[in-house]
Amino acid sequence: MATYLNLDVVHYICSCKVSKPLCRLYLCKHCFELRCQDCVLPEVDCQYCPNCLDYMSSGEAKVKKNRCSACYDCPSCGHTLSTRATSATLPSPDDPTKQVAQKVYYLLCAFCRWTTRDGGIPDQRAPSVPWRNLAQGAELRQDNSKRLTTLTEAFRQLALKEKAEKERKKIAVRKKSFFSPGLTDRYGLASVALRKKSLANPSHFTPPTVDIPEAQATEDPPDDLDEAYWLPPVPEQSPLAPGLHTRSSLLQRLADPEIQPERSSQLAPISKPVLCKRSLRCRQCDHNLSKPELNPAAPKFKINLCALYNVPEMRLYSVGDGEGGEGDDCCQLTLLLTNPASKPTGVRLRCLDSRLALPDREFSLGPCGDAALDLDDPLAAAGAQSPSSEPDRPDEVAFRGPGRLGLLARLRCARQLAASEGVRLELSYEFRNIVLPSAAAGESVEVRRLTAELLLRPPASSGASAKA
Amino acid sequence: PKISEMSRTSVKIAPGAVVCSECELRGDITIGQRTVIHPKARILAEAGPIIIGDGNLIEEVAVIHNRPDESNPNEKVMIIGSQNIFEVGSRCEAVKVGDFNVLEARSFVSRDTVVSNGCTIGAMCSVTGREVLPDNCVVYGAASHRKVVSEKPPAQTLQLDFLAKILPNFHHIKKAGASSAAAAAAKQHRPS
Repeated sequence: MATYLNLDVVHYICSCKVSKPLCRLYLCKHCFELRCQDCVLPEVDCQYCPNCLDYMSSGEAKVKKNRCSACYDCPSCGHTLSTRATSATLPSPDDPTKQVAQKVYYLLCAFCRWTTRDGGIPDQRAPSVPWRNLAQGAELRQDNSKRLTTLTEAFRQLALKEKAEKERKKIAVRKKSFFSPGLTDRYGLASVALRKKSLANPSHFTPPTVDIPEAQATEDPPDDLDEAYWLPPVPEQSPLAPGLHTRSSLLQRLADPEIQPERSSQLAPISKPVLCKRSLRCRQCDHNLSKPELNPAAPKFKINLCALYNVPEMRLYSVGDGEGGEGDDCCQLTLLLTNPASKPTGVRLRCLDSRLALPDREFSLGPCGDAALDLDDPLAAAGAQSPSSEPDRPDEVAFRGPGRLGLLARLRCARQLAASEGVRLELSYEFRNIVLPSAAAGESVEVRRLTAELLLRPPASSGASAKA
Repeated sequence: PKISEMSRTSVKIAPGAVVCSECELRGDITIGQRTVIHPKARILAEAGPIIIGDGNLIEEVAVIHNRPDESNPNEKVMIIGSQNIFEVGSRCEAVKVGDFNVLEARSFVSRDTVVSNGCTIGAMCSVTGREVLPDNCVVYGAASHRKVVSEKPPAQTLQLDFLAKILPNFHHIKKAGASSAAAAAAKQHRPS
């Protein structure tokens, strides 16, 4: 996937010890830990058609066999079919003797120009019609469904019978004395005992009469292939391989297992399969991390706990020249920290393997871009000053912006960095957890101090340019 | 030799054709009735004259090129039928094109191919074989798949009428009748 930023430079370490860029992580606000795609359980929320954006619940989708009822795919190339209208003179529905110009509809693929007319389906008077049922061979498919329903009914009855047998065995195991007439009569349970006995008695069930024919081996050799299977003779001028265009391709045949069309005249519109909207759940605490709106046309989320919106993001802003100091192998980096929250947040960066010399104190990041615009003070909105009382020192802070802070850091042993995994850092920040309103108090904001481990890998080329 | 050909530019535009002045016409070209040629279209009759039929639509940056062939230096007339659509950026070097064809955007047809009637050459597809395309053939997809459909693409009469009304409002149109470069030069020298 192409991005503007180089996502491999700064990685955050997930709770499962895998390093990923921040945009791929979620923050579980109940466990207070970062979760990656593997620590998260996807669930199907609802199904929707990618063409008409009609959404349905999972139960409804099951009935519709996970297909849209209104949209169709081209059997020839797989693109979506669009409805076209032409006018044709037909006998008018009111007065069959008169010929009136009427609108008739057919489906057309804009990509490969396949139409329902090629599939032998006549033009229809209404635009939304079950096109697939009008295709050739629809009657054959319906025959199959009748047979299938009789068979399912028969097997359902067999299953009932087997279940009753199991019940009978269970009851037979119990002590018969409990249901002996001597005791039960006293409490009026004789009828109950009788009912249970009759239920367990298999003689009440007549086995279902369904004719399932015995398998028979045919002794006669199979008939010769029908003449129609042989391809038509090559027309003299045809540049195409002989008759190949009358045959469906393998992909076309397999795309429609119900019909399995062998000839291109048998191709029928395929009901469009639906896609699903998924919600993500933390595997540890079972809370939802990402829950989209039901309506596929709405890009908003009901719950959106992406790490980008909750954890300050660190980026490698620039790589400066080596400034002598501790030898040539040293260069100055500018790290950019961005505040995702709309309130000032305190952050602190610490290097875990002492390769990077960082200012060792807490910095306050202003509110992020959108919220900063609401502030009255223009200077505060521009974020040029530190929101906290401590002024910024020029050897620590390179610049500030609305919700952004550029920190200066010195990297030692830059050449060895290319071989190693990277510099490990620890970012500790304030996380504002909005606790749901309880009965006693209103909505309260809980401020927690969280830490995240980072992996900084400056790109190799920047090291070379830094030397120059 | 090319410069002398250019000086022999002679364009015969039938009445009813809308040919924008900003298109590039080189060589001996005949344009039929109701044909619409957009600005920035290029019709290059290098290796011989081009005869374009009626009701064609040649869009911007389309190139119709009667390209000289090293193996066969004889002059060949390029004949294009009627009701064809050459969409934006399409390139046609085929010597014989029939009727009701659609060359979609950025398609390419080589000199060896003969385009019959009702064919649709899909976007970015190229047809280069020495063959006669069957009627109502559709070429589509990245691999230039072929299939034959049952009917030709619909005629774009509505679009042609609309363009014939709108284009003169925004572009200079070449006048109908026979014109050649020599006559145009003579016009310029005439005292105003």
